[in-house]
Amino acid sequence: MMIRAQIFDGPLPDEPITLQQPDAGAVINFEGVVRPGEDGRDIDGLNYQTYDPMAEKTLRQLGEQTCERFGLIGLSVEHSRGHVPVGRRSFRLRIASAHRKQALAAMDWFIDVMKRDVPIWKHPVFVSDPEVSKP
Amino acid sequence: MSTAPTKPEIDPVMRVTVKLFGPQSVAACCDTVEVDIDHESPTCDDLRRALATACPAVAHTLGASRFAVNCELVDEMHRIDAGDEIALIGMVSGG
Repeated sequence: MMIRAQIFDGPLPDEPITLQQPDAGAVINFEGVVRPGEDGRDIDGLNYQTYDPMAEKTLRQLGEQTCERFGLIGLSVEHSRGHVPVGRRSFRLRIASAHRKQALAAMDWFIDVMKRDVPIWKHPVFVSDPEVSKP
Repeated sequence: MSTAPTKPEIDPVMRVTVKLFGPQSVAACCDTVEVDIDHESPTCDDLRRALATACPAVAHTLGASRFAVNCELVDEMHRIDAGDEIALIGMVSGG
């Protein structure tokens, strides 16, 4: 079982972490991209604040829990720290499993728990007032 | 008649530093808060009450927040030791 978790400064690299699992019948990939608006206002991007080193450690632990819960073959998670402009990737989750259903259920569960427990915060940088939302 | 000298009372207060992040840091206008807890061996529940008093700006968010002690999420009954690194983990928005 392969589990990878990594936090990058700025936008994620275009190429995801390799997740080569020969027994996997299903490999699914989710990418979070910064939208051009937040709360009805235009933004330049998002500033991501992380509590280091807990953020990466918690992502890895969540990856382990997810693999165990859903019987996965492998999982990799990447998240940004710092500024990510509109249109760039800030989050990526790849899951490999023997069959489709486990992978799809695991994807949903991982993201729900991440949004509850992982110490990462996003702050929108509004076009109209970039100083307002600084962490 | 002489009286035994009284021993100075030791004030059983622990002072902890709580790291703040995200909207809670913005609300408090700082990224750390010093909190005095009137307890020799406080729990996170004791800390929550003391933090609400020390930093009223985040008091209304504490019910939905958790504490991390030495980079691990802990429950309310977890006892805090002097020197522990403590962070308030609330209103997270990753992903």
